[in-house]
Amino acid sequence: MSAAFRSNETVDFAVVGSGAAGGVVAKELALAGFTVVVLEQGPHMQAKDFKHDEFGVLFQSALTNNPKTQPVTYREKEGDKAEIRDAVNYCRMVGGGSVHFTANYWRFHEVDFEERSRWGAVPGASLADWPIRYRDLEPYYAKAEYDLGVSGLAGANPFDPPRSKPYPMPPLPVKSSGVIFERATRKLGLHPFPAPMAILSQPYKGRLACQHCGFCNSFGCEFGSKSSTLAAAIPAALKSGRCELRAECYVRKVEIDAGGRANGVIYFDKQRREVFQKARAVVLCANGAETPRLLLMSTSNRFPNGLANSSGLVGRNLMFDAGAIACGVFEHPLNEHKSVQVTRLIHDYYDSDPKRGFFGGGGIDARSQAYPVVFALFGLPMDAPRWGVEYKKMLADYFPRTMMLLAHTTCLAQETNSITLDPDVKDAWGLPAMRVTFSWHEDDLKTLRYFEKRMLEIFDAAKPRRAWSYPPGFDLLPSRHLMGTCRMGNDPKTSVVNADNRAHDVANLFIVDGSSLVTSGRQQPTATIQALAYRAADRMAAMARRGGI
Amino acid sequence: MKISRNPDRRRFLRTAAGVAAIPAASCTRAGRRWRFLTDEQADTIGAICDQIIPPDQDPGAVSAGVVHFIDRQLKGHYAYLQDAYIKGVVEIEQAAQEKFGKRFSALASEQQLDLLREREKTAFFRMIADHAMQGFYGDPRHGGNRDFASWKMMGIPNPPVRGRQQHDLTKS
Repeated sequence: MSAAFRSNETVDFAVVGSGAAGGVVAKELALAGFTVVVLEQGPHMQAKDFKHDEFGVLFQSALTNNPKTQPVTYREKEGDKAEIRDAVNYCRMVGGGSVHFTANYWRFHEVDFEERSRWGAVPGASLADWPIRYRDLEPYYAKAEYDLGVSGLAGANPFDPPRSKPYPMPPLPVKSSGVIFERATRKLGLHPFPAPMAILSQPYKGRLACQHCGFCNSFGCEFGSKSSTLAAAIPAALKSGRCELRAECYVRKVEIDAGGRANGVIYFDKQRREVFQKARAVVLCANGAETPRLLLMSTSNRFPNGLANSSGLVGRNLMFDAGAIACGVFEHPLNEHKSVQVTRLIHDYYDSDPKRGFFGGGGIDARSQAYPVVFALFGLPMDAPRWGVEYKKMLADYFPRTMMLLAHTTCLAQETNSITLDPDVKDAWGLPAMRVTFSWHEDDLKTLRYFEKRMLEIFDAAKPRRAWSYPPGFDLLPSRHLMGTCRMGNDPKTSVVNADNRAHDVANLFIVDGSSLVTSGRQQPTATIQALAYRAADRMAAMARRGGI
Repeated sequence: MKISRNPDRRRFLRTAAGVAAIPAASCTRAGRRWRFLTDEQADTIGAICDQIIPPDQDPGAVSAGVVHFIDRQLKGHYAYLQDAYIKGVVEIEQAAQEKFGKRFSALASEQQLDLLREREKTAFFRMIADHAMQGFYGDPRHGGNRDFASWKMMGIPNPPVRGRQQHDLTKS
């Protein structure tokens, strides 16, 4: 049974956000015997509430932050005036981004944690090593894969870092795009392997295996087969009897007592009444954009520049999703609209290579191109007709025969890219809107162009009727990968949280989500966010047992 | 009037009429086809949409319900675009009168295309083209893509596998 606490009852942990990290933290802490209240901005939807409704999901913000009630402003660089623009997109509901993500579940490689030492400094970027290494996180990657349910084939990727266990279940069946990709990349001497996906290929822990409906990316899984925290972690947290989940509760401030310790959070409940929930410790898992915003809103006499911000780095080093796209249309129908989006990928170009002349690397996956509306609006080559008879014929011809290659590439951290509070614009609750300042590092754009060429080479080998790409740097916003804004480190002057995800400045405040990431990896941050969440929950529980909270 | 009715609705009404007298209220209701648009505006928008997504061996925008989709969104998600639609329709109707002396929907196809090509880069044309696509290729629950017209054309099976049908997948 789900627990129910009074707000003046002091719970052990108040967890803000119930997404990839928050769902895991709540479950781990509740099962470890602690009382937990989870505060989630969005609603508590269930598998049965999810629909195959592209217009609703992609055009009406059915699952994501709604720009009408929570406007986001954007500017390219500091000093510019920010304008309202949909620059950040996150799934706003119980389960958060883990509900609508494509479910690519890549572990970071060893290099991702120590790239500053291996590569050196990059001008204009704040590239840094992590305070932990891959080996510190490895047991937690394995734990996440087994606890939540991830399918894949261990040993199939020669570039994979060492792993203690195979995947708990085999990879999902290969699709047409995967077969074409596998043949073409082998011809080029590359090393394709089955995509690791947080989607069940077999029934697992009472959950249904994937039914191949085709609506993973951006949608909630109607079968509970995607291993979101909504399907795979939160039910266990609630069943423990020690966790209460409060949906549609929007936290606006972390409160601090006279001794400088966090003692609870203030939030607006569903009726927009203000409530103060007391807690012995606070855990922020609100995502890489909302977490720094909340810290910056949590000002006090002791922390006039925002909570946990003595370094001045809260909100800075924002890293976004970087991706280059190439498409190919083939003679026969591929029917890519069915089943999971991705079944094969390569990591051959993962590491940065000095021979390229710039920093950056990535992976390339083969996938379906787009759902029908987005395909109709953006799916055809740039020189195709945009409307009329020829256009309609072309759509009917191309839709079932098109596949996409998507490169997931590095985004360098830069201190000037940030989340701050907009001085003018407010959201529907009267809180300052999130202001995004972001521009790409030159090396990020060079990496995208490099990957565009690699993908067109793969298509050359695959021999489609026609292949095309979109100019990289071609509008990459909004981003759904929100990283780096409370970076982890040993030095309180150059980082916000320590190696245990505890804020340097506040002894009982933990921050674990995309904001902790020091580097972007080659995107696909969810596995790493969740491994960090399992590890941080271990550290929190140990500290609480020692009476440290 | 060029805008065809939903055949299902027609059949339903005919059956109902045969069984019993339809209460006056539902008559009015069936007669009021649009939530926001006037018949004239709907007529113009339909003619534009049928050039953007023309009927060929597969249904075009109008018979797939795209005007219904736009009308419904103008009272909902796209309510803030009501003025843009009204102004856009007025502008193209004026041009049709000035150039050809007829309503836009009464023009020959080449004449309509002539006017639309001139306007291809305008905000109004881009908006209506985007919305036509959203209605035609989107989920029928929003009023467009009637009888899964576009999905049939693109080879997407219907109905798609859905979570809510998980106890009876034989019907997929």
